[in-house]
Amino acid sequence: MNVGTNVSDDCVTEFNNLKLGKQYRYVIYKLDKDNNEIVVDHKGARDSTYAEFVSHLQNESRYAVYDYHAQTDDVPPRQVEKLVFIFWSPDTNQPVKQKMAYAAGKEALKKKLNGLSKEIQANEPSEVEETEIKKIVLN
Amino acid sequence: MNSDEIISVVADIGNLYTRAGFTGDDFPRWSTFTKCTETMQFGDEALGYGNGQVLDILQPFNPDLYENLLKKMFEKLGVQSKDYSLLLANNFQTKHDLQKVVEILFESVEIPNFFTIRNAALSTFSAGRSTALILDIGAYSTTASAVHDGYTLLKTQIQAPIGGEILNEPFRQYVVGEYNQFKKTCLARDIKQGLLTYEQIDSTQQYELPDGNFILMQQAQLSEIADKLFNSNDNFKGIQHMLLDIINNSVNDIKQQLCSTVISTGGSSNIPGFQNKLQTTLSALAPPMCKVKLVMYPSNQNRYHSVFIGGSILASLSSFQSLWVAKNEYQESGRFSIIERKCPN
Repeated sequence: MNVGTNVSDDCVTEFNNLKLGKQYRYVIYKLDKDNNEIVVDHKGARDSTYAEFVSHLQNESRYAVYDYHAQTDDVPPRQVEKLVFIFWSPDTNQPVKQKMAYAAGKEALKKKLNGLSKEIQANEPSEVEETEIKKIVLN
Repeated sequence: MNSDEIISVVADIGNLYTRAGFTGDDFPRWSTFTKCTETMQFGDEALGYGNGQVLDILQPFNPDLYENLLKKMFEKLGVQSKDYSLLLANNFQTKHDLQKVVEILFESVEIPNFFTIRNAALSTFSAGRSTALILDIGAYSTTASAVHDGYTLLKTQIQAPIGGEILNEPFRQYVVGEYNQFKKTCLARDIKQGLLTYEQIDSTQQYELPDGNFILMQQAQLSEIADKLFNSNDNFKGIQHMLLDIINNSVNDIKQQLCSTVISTGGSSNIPGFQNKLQTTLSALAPPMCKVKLVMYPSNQNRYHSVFIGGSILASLSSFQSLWVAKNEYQESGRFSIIERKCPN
């Protein structure tokens, strides 16, 4: 359900830079301090590691798009590349209002990002481990 | 709460309890029974006194009594209905009932703005999720719903006529004294809440009655009562099967997400040991690819008020303010159709 959260133009621009321009490996989004608009939080260089990406997912909710590359177990292995949308909503001491603002704002952001293949809702570190993403991408 | 936040009223009018309050609050300021006396008195004092009839406002839906309840609500909250937008949790069985309520709200109670959204969606949001499998154990019925991205999927929603109130019955025998039916039920409910547990306890449980006497019950007796929620009989499959049916009827894409985001709400989900029992029972039945994970609210209070809290926060978001249906919109554009358009479900 789209509750009308604003999405800054930057969000779409950087998404396209990732998707079409292949400039980044990931883009992380957050709500601005009034919980009113979704803005870009971090952009990861094309050669950044998955660990680097996860290091940005701490005690506050975030949205992210990750351009994940995986190899299947076939012989010869197939290359799979998918854009994964990650909704990071940790059950930490975040105020309920903020957690909810993120939950409610998700649709507004997803609507603006065309070409997302998979989505993950992660509430604790184990759910956003690389093995999890790989599993989803290869499925 | 900053000073330029507009305050609205949030109401969750259930079959047994009504909870109402303001956006930004994490607790409903007015909590009462969704019942009244023949002389339109509300509250347990009035209902528990005398031998007059106690009227149900819902089940079946009584528009006149409902209108009285709405007006009483604004009075008890100490505000003029003309000045406050209202977010009403949608637990209406039929579109017709909702339509009637919207008409009452705009035309008789005269609120300026309205919005409605399903209970299940509000319970989901208040747990910080937008997708979840919600098990709402109400007073007279239990509803299981899949919520996906904030939309309650009505096609797979299941309702059963078993709820918390059925668990009161075995405790009625302990209520002695001259009370009317309503009061007797309240007292039986209190005893239930004091004694009922799923946890394996070795000693007898005891409860002190108002007159100083004690009720003693064994674990086996209490389990038998509590298990009514899980046992199947002629017209009920058990709450675990309600959830399983939804999981099996849902598209593959969201099956796993639903399984890993099971949220139980409603007073009965606070029974000690309930969460563990549900986790174990459901895990045993879930399809192999699905890992069952229960999501907990930060406190037990949240389970009674998850719908209210969800509404309180949702309607306080500045991004939400553009979604209200204004009175003039309602009047100018074919009345109910605008509700269907702006309030997804």
